[in-house]
Amino acid sequence: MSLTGVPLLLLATLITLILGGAVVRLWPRLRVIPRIAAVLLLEAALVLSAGLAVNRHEEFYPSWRALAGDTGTAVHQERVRAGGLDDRVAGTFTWRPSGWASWHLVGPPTVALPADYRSRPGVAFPVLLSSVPSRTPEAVTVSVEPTGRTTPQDLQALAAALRRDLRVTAAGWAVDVGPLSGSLVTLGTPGASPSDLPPPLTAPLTLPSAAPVRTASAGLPPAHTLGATDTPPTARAGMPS
Amino acid sequence: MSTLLSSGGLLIAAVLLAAGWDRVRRLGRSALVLLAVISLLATVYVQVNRVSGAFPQSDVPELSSRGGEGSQLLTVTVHGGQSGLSLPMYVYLPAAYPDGDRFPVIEALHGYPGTPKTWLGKLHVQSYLDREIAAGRMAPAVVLFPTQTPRPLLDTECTNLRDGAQTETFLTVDVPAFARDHYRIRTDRAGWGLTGYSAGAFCATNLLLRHPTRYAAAASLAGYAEPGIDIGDGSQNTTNNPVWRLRHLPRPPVALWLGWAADDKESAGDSHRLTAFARAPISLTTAVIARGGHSSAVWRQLEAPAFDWLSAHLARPLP
Repeated sequence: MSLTGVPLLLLATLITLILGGAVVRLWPRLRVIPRIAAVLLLEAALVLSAGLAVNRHEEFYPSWRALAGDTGTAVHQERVRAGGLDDRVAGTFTWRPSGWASWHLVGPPTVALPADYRSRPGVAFPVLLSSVPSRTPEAVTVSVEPTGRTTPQDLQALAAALRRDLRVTAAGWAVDVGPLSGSLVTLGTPGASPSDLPPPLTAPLTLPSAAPVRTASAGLPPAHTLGATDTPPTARAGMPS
Repeated sequence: MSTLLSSGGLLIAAVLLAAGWDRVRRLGRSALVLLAVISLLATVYVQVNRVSGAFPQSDVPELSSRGGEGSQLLTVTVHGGQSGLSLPMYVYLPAAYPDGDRFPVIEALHGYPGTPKTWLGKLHVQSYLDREIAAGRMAPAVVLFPTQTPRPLLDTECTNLRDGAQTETFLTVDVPAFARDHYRIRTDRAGWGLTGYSAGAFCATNLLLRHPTRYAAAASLAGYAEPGIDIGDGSQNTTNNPVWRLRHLPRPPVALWLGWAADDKESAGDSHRLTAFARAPISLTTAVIARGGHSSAVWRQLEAPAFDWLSAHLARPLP
């Protein structure tokens, strides 16, 4: 019988009414102890009926299993996906993924890895994508030299390739590539400095996600992150609040 | 304590009714019945209050407990200069706090009716935070648990009520100012996040969308898409309505995590609506558990993943 259904509520109400009638009727003939038991029983039935009615209205516990605290879903630790180049690279290297030539850069990007990149295989590292030579010990630093023909789409393609080749976070990067930064807000905060990056963390605990309403384009990896890239980003200024 | 008292009263009233009935006349009998009814109502009130946490049992207890991992939990009162509200707040300081870093901050809001005490009690937040930080899934952070209901049964939904409580100002100006004055924390947007359950989850979403220059990320545990109260200026349908904001205003570049139980109809429906409109540049993550309704079992399941996610979207502790 459903916890929030009418039948259970009717049953509880009926029991309460019958109990009430019986208590009133039998009262003169009962001794003290049975009277106490009868009063307490009637009070319990009243509270139960009222509780069922309130729960039916508010839906705090939609089912018996919910009432028992059974949530039916286990939290699990997300796996960090190994990067394709994890075993082959260390320190600083020139990165020539397939397709880099079409990104309209002056030359192939230079990638600098944190010193503990290989010793912490369970960690996804944040990324500093920068056009000014810089390096931070706790993030994967990607130095690029864009040209006038480099488009935001080129750098999104670079981001997708980077996520494939190295153990990096999907988004929340520090992006400092001149005027192009403003068009890459789905990757991270424009103009953020390395100290604004999230720390390199062990894979988080996660729960199953809802069926995606919009599927992300350009191979944004974790399926539960819906930061879509195909909508033109809007200006961030002038937010009334 | 009050549980013991009220159940004792219930029992005594029942005994008096049973034993005294034959010794008194009509007036006395009426008094006995009345006593039984009052004792029943009192017992129900105490238990409902215990479950919902609507009315604090006492004034905020002087609480300064050390968690198993060396974290600290403080009790403070924030005297809001801007809002004029003075409300109690709990503060979680991570075990690494004495190291001298400036830590990112998470404001964790409670539901309605309720108090921040639910976070510490039913939701065991201190041990969850200790565990996530110790496991390296979350960076050490200062977590604030402010009060969002100036009076126990005043539902503000963390807004500035017209001609009423200025809770939004309290939470977004006074609480941050207090934290800046008293703790070693990051003061920049990148280092500030929000979370909350139920009404507090609505608060987190709404305040994030309204103050994207103060907060970078928010995690909503079984929240709603609209405040469900009359704010007094109609803004519950517009600027204090996240769905309206997402549809009609430029979307801010913020990160939002929405979690809910599939059988929690209202929250599930509202979360789906928010999901549909929270497009780029908002980075959206969703998490769904199978069942549990609108209950603390659900928030308990959601809180560790929510804190992990928040930490991955907030700036690191600053040496």
